[in-house]
Amino acid sequence: MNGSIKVEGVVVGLCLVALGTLWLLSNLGRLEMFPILRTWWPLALVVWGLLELGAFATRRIFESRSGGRR
Amino acid sequence: MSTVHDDARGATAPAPPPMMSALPPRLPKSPGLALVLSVFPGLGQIYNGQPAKALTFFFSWVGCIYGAAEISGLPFGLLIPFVYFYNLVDAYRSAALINARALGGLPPEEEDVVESPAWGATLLGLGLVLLLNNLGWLRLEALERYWPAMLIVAGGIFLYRSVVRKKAAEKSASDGSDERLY
Repeated sequence: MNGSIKVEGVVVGLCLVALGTLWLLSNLGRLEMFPILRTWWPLALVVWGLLELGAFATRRIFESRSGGRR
Repeated sequence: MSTVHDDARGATAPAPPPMMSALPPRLPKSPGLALVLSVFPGLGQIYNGQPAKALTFFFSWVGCIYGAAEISGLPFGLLIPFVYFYNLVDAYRSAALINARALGGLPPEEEDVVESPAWGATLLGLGLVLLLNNLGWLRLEALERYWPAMLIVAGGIFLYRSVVRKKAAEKSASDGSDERLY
């Protein structure tokens, strides 16, 4: 696809942002990072799956509108 | 450097010839570097620009170690070196393949178009199950005895895919290319 966003890149970016936020807050003494990570890391998989499904849906809509390219 | 260049402008010294003819064209990836980076599974794949593959290798590796430690040493411990060395070989080969494509020796890679929602649904389901388990609403430990079912599922996937690929090949051979499946 030309000009489409790479889902994996978005996922890696979001993971880094989340990790950085958590780490920053734990360094500032607001929360404990590791218990939160141990519980909530599968949320990354959930978000990734949702983004993949969203990419699939938008691609299908786009293709059916433009009348079956490929 | 720029001032030296400005001073030398008046002189008739010719510019140094471009080295392009002597050197081979610059390759996008170094297979050796990919191999070395993959000593940590997944890192070489990230260098190659294949994040999905990188995550798959990393989680397979971690999963095998976890399985060997927590569930059963025999199959999972045996799988660790397999995953690890396959990861190394894949990093090297992918980098070499990217180089070969850059040189034009091979057709460009087919764009990884998502053909079915199965990949996203798998990720979503796996994430939800693990999350519920972590939150204490599911008890996956009770399922540990049933791990060989994963082998059965893997075998089923291989069988299904080989059958589908054969059917698709037959179909594309028999009729035109503008076939839509839905």
